[in-house]
Amino acid sequence: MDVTSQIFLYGLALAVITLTLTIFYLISLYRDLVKKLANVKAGEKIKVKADLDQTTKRVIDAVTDEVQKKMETQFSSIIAGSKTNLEKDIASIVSEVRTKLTSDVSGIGQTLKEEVVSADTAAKKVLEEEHDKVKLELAEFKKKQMDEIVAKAKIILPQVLKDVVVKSMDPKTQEDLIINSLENAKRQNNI
Amino acid sequence: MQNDKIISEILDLVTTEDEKDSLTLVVEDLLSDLYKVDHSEFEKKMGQMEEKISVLVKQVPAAELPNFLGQLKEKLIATASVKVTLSFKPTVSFISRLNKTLDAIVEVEVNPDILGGVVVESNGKHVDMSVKKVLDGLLASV
Repeated sequence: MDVTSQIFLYGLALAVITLTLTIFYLISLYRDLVKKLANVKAGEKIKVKADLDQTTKRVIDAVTDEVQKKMETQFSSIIAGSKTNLEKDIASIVSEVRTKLTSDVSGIGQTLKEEVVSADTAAKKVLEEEHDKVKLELAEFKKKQMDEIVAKAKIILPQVLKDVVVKSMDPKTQEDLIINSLENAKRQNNI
Repeated sequence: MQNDKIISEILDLVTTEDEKDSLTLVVEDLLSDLYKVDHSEFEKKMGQMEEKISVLVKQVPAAELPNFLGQLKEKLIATASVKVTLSFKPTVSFISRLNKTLDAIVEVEVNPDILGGVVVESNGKHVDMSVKKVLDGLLASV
């Protein structure tokens, strides 16, 4: 049941109670007047009746005004209270929603942050692994290339030396170098 | 004493293992023919020697010849020899230089694969001073 319906029901109940009390009061008043009227003489009946009507009208008007004022006061109070409660409820709801949202957003932010950090770490790890892999492959490739170069050099260099260096060296120089080598070896007791 | 000097001079003339083997064979033949009546064979074998060696041997008195040849044979067998590997065919003068440097009879082997330098083998020792070894060392360190 919403707030407006509650206000309406409370107001209705209050009005019924007030009207009931008023009616009981009027009945009581009316009985007193009837008693008075029974004691009045017949000649005074018309005047008394007119007074009664006048009095009754005033009383009714006064009661009606009173009831109306009280109802207005009650309604105003109820409405004011309801408004206050409603404002409080709305403020509370807004506060709760805000707190919840803040908490949720904060949680989402934290989760996102963790996810981003996790993704960042994972990406870094993958990159490092790739880097190591490429580095290893590069080293293997380099070694393979160097081995090929050395293998070719082992074939080519002796030929080059034989064709160029050795042939370009005159026999006398070669002989002198050999004799020097032998003398050095002898001095070092190698031969 | 004179004979010792002649033996020393003969050994100086023997520079290679081939020459040593050849002279040793001739000396052994001379020793076996020494006491034969027919000296023509002896003279013929003397002619197989290098001329310089032959001249030296003829300086030895006939009576001392058996003892001389025996000593010469012993000296030849006892003379140390060194195996020398070269990348080129050596001249006679270079072999003589090798002989003097090593103070031994040399056995020369020619192997162009060593590219240059020399490889010496003597008394179980193997000393490689070839260009090929240097080159292999350089390539191995690459």
